[in-house]
Amino acid sequence: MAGKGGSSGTSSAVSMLYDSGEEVDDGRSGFYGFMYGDPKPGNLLSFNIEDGFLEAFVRGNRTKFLNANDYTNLAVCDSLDDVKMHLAQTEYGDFLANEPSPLATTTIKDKCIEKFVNEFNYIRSNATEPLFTFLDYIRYGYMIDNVILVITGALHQRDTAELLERCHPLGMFRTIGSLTTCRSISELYKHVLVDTPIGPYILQCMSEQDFDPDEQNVEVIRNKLYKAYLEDFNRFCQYLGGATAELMSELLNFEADRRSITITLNSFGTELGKDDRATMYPSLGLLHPAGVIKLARADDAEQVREAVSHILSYRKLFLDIGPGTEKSLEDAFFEYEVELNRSAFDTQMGYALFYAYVKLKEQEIRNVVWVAECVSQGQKSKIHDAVIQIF
Amino acid sequence: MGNFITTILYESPYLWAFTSVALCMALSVVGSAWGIWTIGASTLGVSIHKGRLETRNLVSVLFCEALSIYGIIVSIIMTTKAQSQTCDPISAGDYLVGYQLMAAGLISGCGNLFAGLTLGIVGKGMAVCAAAVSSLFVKMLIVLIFAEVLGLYGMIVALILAKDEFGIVCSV
Repeated sequence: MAGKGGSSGTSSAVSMLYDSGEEVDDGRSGFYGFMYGDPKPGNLLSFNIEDGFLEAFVRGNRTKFLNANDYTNLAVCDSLDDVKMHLAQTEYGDFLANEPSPLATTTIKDKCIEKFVNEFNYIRSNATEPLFTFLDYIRYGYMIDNVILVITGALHQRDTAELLERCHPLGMFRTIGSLTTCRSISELYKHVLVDTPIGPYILQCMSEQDFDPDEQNVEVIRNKLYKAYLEDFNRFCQYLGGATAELMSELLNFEADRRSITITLNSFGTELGKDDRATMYPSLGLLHPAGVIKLARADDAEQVREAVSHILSYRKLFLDIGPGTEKSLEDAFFEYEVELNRSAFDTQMGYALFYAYVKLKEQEIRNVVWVAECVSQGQKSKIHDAVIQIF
Repeated sequence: MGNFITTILYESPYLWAFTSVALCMALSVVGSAWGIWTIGASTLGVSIHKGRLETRNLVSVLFCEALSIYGIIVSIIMTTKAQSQTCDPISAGDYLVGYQLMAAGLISGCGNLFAGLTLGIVGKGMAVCAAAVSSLFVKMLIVLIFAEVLGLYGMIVALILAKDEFGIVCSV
């Protein structure tokens, strides 16, 4: 079970060449996969050969998520030290043991992320080939976030070391420090990103010759990078085929639709033109292509709601939020995401489980940080507004 | 082609008898091994968290092992039967015994093979589910027992065929 990952740079570039519209049964799954360079995950009978151990490990983690009891206990805490004590009784254990006494919520968040990253690295170090690339793909999302964080920070003249501390550990790569010296997209690509797996994604933004220190421009770059990433990930999952392709397409479709809707809503009131906005929508998702055309033409929130109303689940999401409730669209999206990922977590013989595990852990970290924030600000009544029960 | 079939059909009954012994043992072992690796990988995964509790899943491995024991029982009985039929010249009775043993071997081997596949997939699911909901373990054992019984049916029929004393005894 030693990690046998190939250089991830070539994997992502190669997978952009995959063009499988339907599942190709070339015998690479299961027993004879090792004879090819790119095996596929096994089917019902042969999945356990390569990935059974890790699947069981991750699914055994199900009971380690905080349950309703734990959240109730946390909600009656008076201070962050109480939170630390209650968390010590759950599966989190003594992860805050070495922290000095006046705890800050940022410390709790960093320690939670560190614990999660340790688990992820354990899984990643035991993974063999198609799973290893799959887990790498999950990391590319964090890499994109880190790249944008560093670029934005550099534009505001922040200290590099401080920026690198704020980066997510899953998305770190060796040359991230030299991002601060980049002044244009082509420099960004040629000096830094060409060596990373997300290099091919920047090729889709290469036409963006102006790289002015402007919040909006950097957000545009982020959205385009993420669009390329989602499409590449989707192509890879379709190549893997079987249960992985089915479930991952569901999860990635939701992610793409969420980004399309969020981009549209955030672009109202800015100078972003409708054509520019349309280039940022990922070309996958339930809203693609019909809803996306309507989204591109939308001018206000009401038209956005109409544009997505032909999909029942999104229509329900928009119904849940409204002027009466305190729930925002983001919260509704988080809830729906947890539902989708929870059902993906219980599947057998596919890799969607690992993706769902990462997303659910992220949600749990968000929950814990929200609880810590509410407790430290003394607004305990608001805890249950944003804490989404995972299992 | 006709010549080929005729040649096969008139081969010695030892061909049938001992091929079946090989098939019985081999297929039983394949089924048993398939089940064991499937269950074992998942048992290891869940044992990381609650090691002492989750190693109760090794009872599923025990079920798989029983399948290869059925295979070996049938194989040994078939071997002794085949070796006791030394007749010269070979008569019709010997062909009957040869075919009986071929049937016995295939029945037992294939039965154990598919029982092993079933045990593997069910045992794997059981390992993971029992880690989440502890009370499911005992209930899933019922499924494992039913899967085990498939191999047992194969062994029963194979033993009846292999030890059939109604066969025509060597007429020398």
